[in-house]
Amino acid sequence: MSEKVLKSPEFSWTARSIEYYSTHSPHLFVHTVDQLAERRALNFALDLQGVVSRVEEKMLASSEHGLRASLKEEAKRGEISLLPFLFPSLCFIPSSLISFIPSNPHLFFTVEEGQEKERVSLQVKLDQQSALGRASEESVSRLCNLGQWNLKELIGEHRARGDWDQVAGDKVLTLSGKVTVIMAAEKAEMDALKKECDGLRAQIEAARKAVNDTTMTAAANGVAPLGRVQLKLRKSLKGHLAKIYAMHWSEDSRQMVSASQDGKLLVWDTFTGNKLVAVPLKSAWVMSVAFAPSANLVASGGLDNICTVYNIKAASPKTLRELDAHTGYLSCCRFLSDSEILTASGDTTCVLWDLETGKQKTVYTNHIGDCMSLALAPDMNMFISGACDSLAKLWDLREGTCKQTFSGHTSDINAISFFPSGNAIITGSDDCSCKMYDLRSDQEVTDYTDATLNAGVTSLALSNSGRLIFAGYDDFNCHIWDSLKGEKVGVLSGHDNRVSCTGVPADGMGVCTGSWDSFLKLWN
Amino acid sequence: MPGPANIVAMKKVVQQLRMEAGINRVKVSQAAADLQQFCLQNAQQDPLLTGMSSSNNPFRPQKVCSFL
Repeated sequence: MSEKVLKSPEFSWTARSIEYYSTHSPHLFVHTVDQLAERRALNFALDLQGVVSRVEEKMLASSEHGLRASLKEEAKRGEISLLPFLFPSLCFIPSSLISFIPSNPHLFFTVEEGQEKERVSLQVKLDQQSALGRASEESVSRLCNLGQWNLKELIGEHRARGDWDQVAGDKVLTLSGKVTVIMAAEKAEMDALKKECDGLRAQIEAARKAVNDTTMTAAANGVAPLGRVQLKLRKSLKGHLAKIYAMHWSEDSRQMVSASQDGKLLVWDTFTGNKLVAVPLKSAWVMSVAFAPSANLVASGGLDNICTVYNIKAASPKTLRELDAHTGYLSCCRFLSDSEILTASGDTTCVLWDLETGKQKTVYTNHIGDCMSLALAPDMNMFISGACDSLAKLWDLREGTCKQTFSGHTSDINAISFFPSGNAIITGSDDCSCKMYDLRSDQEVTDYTDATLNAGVTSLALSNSGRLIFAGYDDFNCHIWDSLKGEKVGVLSGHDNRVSCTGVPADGMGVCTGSWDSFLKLWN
Repeated sequence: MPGPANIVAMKKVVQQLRMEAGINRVKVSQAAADLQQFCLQNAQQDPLLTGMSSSNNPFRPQKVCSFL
């Protein structure tokens, strides 16, 4: 916003100006605040780069921003510089904008041709507040005075609606759309914040680069290659009647729970292949399942936005708790103990719940896309989440704060896991790659891609030493990667549809893959 | 087109970035060495790497028992 004092022999007045544009009808709005000047008939002309227009209702047309203008009052001349200042325009039809100078806020809008003659006042509603605005008349461009509103309370985004007064007769024009109210003075603060943001991002990148003295794969040159890793299919578990979306091992490395959109959770004895418990679900649209470390409880959730916890040690599975506070689908859940569970949701948050009260203990907010997956650190003080904003974040479980953010993926992160030492994380994404990020170097250290692999990664699990990464892909296979050398070393083939979930038990004795083909397979 | 119109939201973004900028970073060569060491030290305890005998394999297909 610029403020220039224009002196003339007779009087001096200040003109504060704001330029704003609607895409269809750009206007320069000039408002004079000096009362002496206002009492005069303000009939001055603005010379904008040679385009001279008479000012009526304090409104003028210009065609571009960043131009020099000279204000002539009768024979007097002054100069003001116009700062380009682009407001977002509303999607009002007709088009309109809100612009404010603190003392005299106006809603500017245009009407369609043929409506110029309509002489009416405009009733404007912003969210729940409604006020009658006096609109200027008889032109395509109109100005409606909103001086009675307390604009400081209105900063931000609002739904706005304007209705023509009934005086117009049977012609009712309704304008509605999204309005962003920005006080002109705040723009400077916003710009300063953006600058600081950019500076910090550059600082972080520089700090990462400064420690990037080698690549993981280069550093692993001296490590003996694994050769081909060939695991055999040992068991195919049949029982589900529809796509399997999730599975999770029990800590005893023997039981395993799987979830399918046939509306059931099945608890399996993987040594015998027998089904131990069947839990019928209220909602068949399940996306995640978890086994509690004690093996007394399992949890599941999905498109119902609820995480339901079941006691499977009872005579028949009993619902213990329904954790209902997410406003988006439940994509992942993991027990910390029988009294705490972590959930990740499509509402972009992760939540730590107290199972005794059923209430949220901590809400982890920072992602700007649906959270798809989470994993607990071996020391249980931190956890990581992967989201559709293509970022992975490290969180302090107890503080509730995001400690580190990892970027690099170019699409949704669907799967995430800790390296067993707790110092690195592995992610799998729709961009068909897996990546390893080291927590202490705060950056991507390995990229697991293969030109022949054009399918998204759905799930991943690591072997006990961390050397092998088992990644499930949309190409119906689970590919095996050497985590140190970044090479593909094997494949688990056998499913007839997308591999949706992968898991390695605590004792590391095998891998389980679950698929949309409704089967679970055990390999080692 | 300006970014988020919400100054409060923008301040949060700046605060988060300040926090993330302030951490200490370890050289990748050091991190890589530590990860390698972990893998190699634990290789013998990784059944999927070392393999296992049929008798130790919990998932082996069930043999049919017959009484002699």
